[in-house]
Amino acid sequence: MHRDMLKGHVDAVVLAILSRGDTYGYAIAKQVNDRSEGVLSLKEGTLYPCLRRLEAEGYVEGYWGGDDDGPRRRYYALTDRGRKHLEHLRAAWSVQQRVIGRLLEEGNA
Amino acid sequence: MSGFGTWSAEEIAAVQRELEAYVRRIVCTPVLTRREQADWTAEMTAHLLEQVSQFADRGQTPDEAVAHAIHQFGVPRELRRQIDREALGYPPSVLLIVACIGVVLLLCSLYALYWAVPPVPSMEIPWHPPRWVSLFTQGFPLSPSLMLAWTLACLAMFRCRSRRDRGGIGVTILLFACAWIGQRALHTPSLGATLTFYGAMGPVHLLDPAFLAGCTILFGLGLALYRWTQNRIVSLFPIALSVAEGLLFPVRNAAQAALYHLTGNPALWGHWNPFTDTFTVLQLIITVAARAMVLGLLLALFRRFDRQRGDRASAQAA
Repeated sequence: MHRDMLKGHVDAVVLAILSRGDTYGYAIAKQVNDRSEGVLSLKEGTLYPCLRRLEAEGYVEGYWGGDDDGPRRRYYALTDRGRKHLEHLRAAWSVQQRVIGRLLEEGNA
Repeated sequence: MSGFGTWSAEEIAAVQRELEAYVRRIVCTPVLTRREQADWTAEMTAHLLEQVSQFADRGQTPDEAVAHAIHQFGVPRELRRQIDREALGYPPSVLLIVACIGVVLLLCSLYALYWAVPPVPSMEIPWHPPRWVSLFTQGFPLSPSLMLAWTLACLAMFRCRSRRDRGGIGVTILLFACAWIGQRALHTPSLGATLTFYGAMGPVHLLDPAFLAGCTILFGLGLALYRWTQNRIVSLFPIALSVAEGLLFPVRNAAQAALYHLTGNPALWGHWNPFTDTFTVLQLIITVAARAMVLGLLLALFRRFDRQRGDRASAQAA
């Protein structure tokens, strides 16, 4: 259930994290796992194919950071196109949330 | 990144080697280019090292930390499958099947063309091509040129990474198809002698204005595709397709003529081997070389653009 919950929303979650500033894969995975308080368990390796796809689609831009502390990190920055896509995903999520919420309420009634 | 607790330098080096080997198992897929594989390996190894160093700080042994980090990262086979799917947009097996269908149809269409030409007329051999042959010789969508374009497009799709890339391949095929339909409908070899390739229209000459126009259009198309997709393979696809299409009929004719001389089978009569005439061979080599030069020029330009883009990104990051 936990992994399924995240499925289909990984793009939105990653773009939302990047909207707060440039960051790299490990930090994104850590944020997802920490901020969801363990409810969403993200297999960290699945993040990279998703990041590369978002990059290929032009939603994020990747660049290598400095290597002053340990191995070089590849940072990702949200592009204008990515910002627009995030808005679209947020709007779709709001609709989904409203509809599912209404259905569940009716089920309880 | 924090340190590695109390681990020795040898232990850290061994951990790094183990993690790299694990990551290589993930990225060893033919869908990724060597450059992409190197990029992915560096990025994923950095991630795992950071994770392992966190576990080391919590007092875990190297073996425990590596096992823990790998468990959190995922199973290589599943990750590889996800990389393939996300890089291509669909499972690679689908693309491979579609490419194989293209090869089968290409061979069928070549075989059909062999049936379309009656054997040596003087021998009066009864010649009744099967009905399906007319599908390939008269029906528009099943010509060998289009089947070759289909197959090459499928192969190029293995290097497509976004919808835009796939659109670029689609636009190229559409342009070639429109040029082909146009020349069939109007009976005039236009648009750079149908982008300089049709063997059926006779050999193309280097100084033919149509050939030069075709090369210029292909060069411009390559640049436009690069601007749109920033994918080298997609941008080089039009000129590569032009070369492949240009070689299709000379090679097919040479193969059939050779088979006729080898077997003496009159049914194989009807095609002249273009490689027996020095002038034609020279023309063919020169026109292929001219397009190879255009391809080389485009590749050099793309490399330069890529370098400039990388420099700009680094400067922005700094």
